[in-house]
Amino acid sequence: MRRYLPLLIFTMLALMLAYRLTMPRVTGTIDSPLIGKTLPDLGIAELPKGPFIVNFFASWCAPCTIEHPTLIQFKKDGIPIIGIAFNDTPENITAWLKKRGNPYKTVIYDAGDGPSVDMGITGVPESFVVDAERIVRKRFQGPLEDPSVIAEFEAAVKP
Amino acid sequence: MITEVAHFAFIMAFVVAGMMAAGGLWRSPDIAKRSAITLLALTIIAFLGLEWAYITSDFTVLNTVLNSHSQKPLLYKISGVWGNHEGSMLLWIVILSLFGAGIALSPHIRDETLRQRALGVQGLIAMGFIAFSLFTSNPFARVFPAPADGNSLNPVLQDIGLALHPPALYLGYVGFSSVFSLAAGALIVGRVDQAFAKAVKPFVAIAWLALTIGIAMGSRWAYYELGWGGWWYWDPVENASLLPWLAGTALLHSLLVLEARGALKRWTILLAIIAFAMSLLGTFLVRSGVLSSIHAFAVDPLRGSFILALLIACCGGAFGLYAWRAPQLKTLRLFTPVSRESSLVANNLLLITIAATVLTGTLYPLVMDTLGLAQISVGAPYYNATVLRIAIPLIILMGIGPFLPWKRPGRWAFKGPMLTCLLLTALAMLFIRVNMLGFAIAIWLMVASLAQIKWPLTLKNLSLVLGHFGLGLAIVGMIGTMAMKIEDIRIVNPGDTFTVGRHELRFDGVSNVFGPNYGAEEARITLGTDILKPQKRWYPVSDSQTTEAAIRTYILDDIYVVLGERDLKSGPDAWVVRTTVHPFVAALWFGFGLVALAGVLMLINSWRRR
Repeated sequence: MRRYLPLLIFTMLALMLAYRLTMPRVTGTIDSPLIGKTLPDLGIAELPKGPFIVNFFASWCAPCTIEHPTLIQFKKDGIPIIGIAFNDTPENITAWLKKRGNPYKTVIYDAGDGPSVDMGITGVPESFVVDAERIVRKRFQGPLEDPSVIAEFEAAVKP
Repeated sequence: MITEVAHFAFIMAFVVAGMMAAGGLWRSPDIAKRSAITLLALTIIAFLGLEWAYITSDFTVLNTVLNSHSQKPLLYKISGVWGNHEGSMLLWIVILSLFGAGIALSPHIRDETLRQRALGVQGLIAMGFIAFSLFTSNPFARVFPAPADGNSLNPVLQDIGLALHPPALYLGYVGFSSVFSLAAGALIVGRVDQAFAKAVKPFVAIAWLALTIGIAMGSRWAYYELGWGGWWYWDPVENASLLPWLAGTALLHSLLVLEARGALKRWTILLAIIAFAMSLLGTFLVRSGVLSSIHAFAVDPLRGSFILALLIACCGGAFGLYAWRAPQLKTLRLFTPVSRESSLVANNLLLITIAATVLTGTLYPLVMDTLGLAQISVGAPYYNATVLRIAIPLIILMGIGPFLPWKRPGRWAFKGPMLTCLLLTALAMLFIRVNMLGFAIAIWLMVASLAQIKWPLTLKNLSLVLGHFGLGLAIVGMIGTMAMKIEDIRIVNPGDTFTVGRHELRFDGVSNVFGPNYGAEEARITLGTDILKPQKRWYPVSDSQTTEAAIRTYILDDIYVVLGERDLKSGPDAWVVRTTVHPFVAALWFGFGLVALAGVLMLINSWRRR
């Protein structure tokens, strides 16, 4: 009987693998656990009435410069953006915004222990879409540059 | 035109593989032999044809368009052929044919019936894989209209280590096909004896050697290029290469018993089948998409079904044949408990237990998910808790086994030298003053292996000594990287000095630098007379940020410096710097090198001695 053992084990394995092949595959990325939850307290009294964007940035961050024109365009389209300056000084930020234009409705300073921790960012820039009920709807890591990502953000923030 | 010739040669290869199978399994040894050699010629023509399309950047071939680019350096055009699914399958088939020709020509196979049957089985496998390639992943498919240039200029994959890592692994995986065919042939013939061991040994040696080199190259690449400071991640696909290696190692040792005592016949045959079954299982896991892994190729369900069919045909057939023929191969020979053969049996049991443990860990998430019980992933903690524990007795035994004499219980004459080694190990432990079991067994293995040197030196003796000693040395490296690494994360201002392990470093500040296609923040950190420059890079085109660690390798340790985020709370130019010191990494690579060298010696030895 023992000589059938390898065949038996292999048959079971093969059956399982065959069954696995028929199952749908997992694809795509894992969403941030924040999506669908209420926006953490940003430490400011007044948030915009409708949907808005929360954008983490810094004057020392090169990719933030790349996404800057997108944010300016958002401002022209009437989309409110709350900027969170990550690990930066007010002087540097003021100079940076003066040089390039200010797309933000409000700028909050975060020394690395504020909203950046609550919202679990992995680096700058990083952007979130928050709806009128203060629920986080979207998250994007890296500069808003790709037209399809920009279109998605616009669609989400302008219901 | 050249592409059409290559494509035609590839189709002809299918026909010739059919002739090889028919000639081998019915009664025409001559046809089988000639077909095997013709098959090799045809597949080489097909492979060179595809290489030509890559080298000349012929973008009328779909495969070239998807995987090459006219601006790639020549070396990476050449290696680009096997950097994708279709091309790598073609390389698979070339190697398969190479081993088929090896069976046809090997002077070590004395039994002509065995050679003929093995060629038949090898021909069947070749038919299966050529059909798979032609019907589901044809590398010669054309595209119309032809685009102006190719799509692929992936910078990460343009690396010399990565260019050579897959061919070495394939040589190992596919090399076991010849071992499998010989085992199946032996089952058909119904004879497994010392002559079979001599016939199969060179094939096992070459496959095992290639697999060893392939795995070591992959680990080295991961360690130096990925920048995470690890060399083994228990990724399912890494496991898939480890499994045939473990089975192959067990096979090498069981062949010793078969050769010397004519025993362990059924077990050896079973191991030969398992080694190739593990290679096929690995191929299936990588190319079917049932497991997610960083190594995975693009997924097509039809391919998965086809490889599974091949896996079932090969292994189901072989295990069925085994069940049918096993009773003929009975050896009733009892071993005395303290003898070389008993220690080799124990070695085999431990190696196969490790393989089974790794296989369980790799497939467990699949099993759980299939049964609808849970979605889990099995990571390093499982393997560290299980594999390492089984490895400890194995390594201790590796030191003891070679002392024991064959057959007779003897007069315990080995006791003296063994005790001397044990004493030397204890002395060494006192000397280095690191109280760790891992070090004790690694030193024990190295000392006991050196004690095996016998004058005059023979290749066989030297490969045993180097193989076991090399593994001992590699274990020292493994312990160094796993258990003894020193990690240091700190915020530094320009001018600050800090000490990590035996190294003293000074942070000199960060500046912006620009490369050909990226911008970066680069730190300058002084270490002795050397300046380390870790970077944080930003690639605008691919929208990605990478961390370039600065690494320096010394005989005693490696130092790894990574630049973190800026920290303005601590100063205007304060940065987070992460430093890791990995002791004994050089021992790891040198140990792997010795193990590979032992494989080379074993190969020469098994080749010379007819």
